[in-house]
Amino acid sequence: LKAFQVCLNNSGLLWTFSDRANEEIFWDLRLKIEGRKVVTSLYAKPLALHLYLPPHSCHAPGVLSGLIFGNVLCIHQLCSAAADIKKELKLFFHCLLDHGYQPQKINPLFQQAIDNATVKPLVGGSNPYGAGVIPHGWGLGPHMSNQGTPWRRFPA
Amino acid sequence: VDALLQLVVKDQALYLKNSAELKGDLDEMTLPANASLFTYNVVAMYPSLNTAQCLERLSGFLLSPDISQRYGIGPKALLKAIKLIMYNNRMRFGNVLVKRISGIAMGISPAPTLANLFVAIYEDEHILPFIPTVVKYLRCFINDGFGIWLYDPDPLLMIAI
Repeated sequence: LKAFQVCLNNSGLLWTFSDRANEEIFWDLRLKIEGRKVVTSLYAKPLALHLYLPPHSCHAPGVLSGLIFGNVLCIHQLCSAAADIKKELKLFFHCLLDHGYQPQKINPLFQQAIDNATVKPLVGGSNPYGAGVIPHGWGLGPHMSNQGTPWRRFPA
Repeated sequence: VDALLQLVVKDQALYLKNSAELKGDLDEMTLPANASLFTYNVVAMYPSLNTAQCLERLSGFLLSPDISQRYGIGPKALLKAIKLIMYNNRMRFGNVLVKRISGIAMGISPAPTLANLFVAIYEDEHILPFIPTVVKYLRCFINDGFGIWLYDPDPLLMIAI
């Protein structure tokens, strides 16, 4: 490791290295060795403010759809475990609520975005819930909390 | 300049496009028991980059016939443009006009590409030999790098990790 560090530091720039570990933070990812695989989840700094456009912004309405579809897809692409995906989706949803968005407005967009993210082929992995299965009843709003079964089969 | 250099940079062995690409690579990988993760980054990359050294390294790389043929670039004109960009940065602070004499101005559009290529050329020659014997996986984007290190499978070391 020393030889590698010295070699890189001879490149004309000063490099700093983290200690070797089973878990690392890199960009927006938390990477962890579990067994023989590296599993990933999203990482945000503890003081991240999660600032999004407020609902009274004069942006075109499509910007909100784009924000939700983009972030939901990103969450599905970058998290390995279904539990992490659910956690991040809840966090994102509640951040939007905190910014003043109404649940009845963003709930349908979230559901469409989740459908979109789970049905389309994902970059870097397959559907974490199994082929054709999408998560349902995220506890994102009152009308979605008591659906009985936590999964539903996506229609072919 | 940026558009031409991006063709070259995106083709480099250790180039990493985004987190999704990294996850895609890692999903396909099965690690040996002696693997551990590490990250590395540069201290103050843009101001620390030696302009003359950067131009010299880029010249050596871009002027090689293999590179100019592969990417269809005119290396002499491109290098002249890079030199023009790197040696002619002026900034105004109030009524003081200053000329940058070292480093790369962070605000110019080809700055990330130039920095990326500066590191990538060095990595091609000196860092790639570490792969895959002691480094199983290594990716770098500008000043951030991520790698999987294969440590000595000494039982005591393994307990410590």
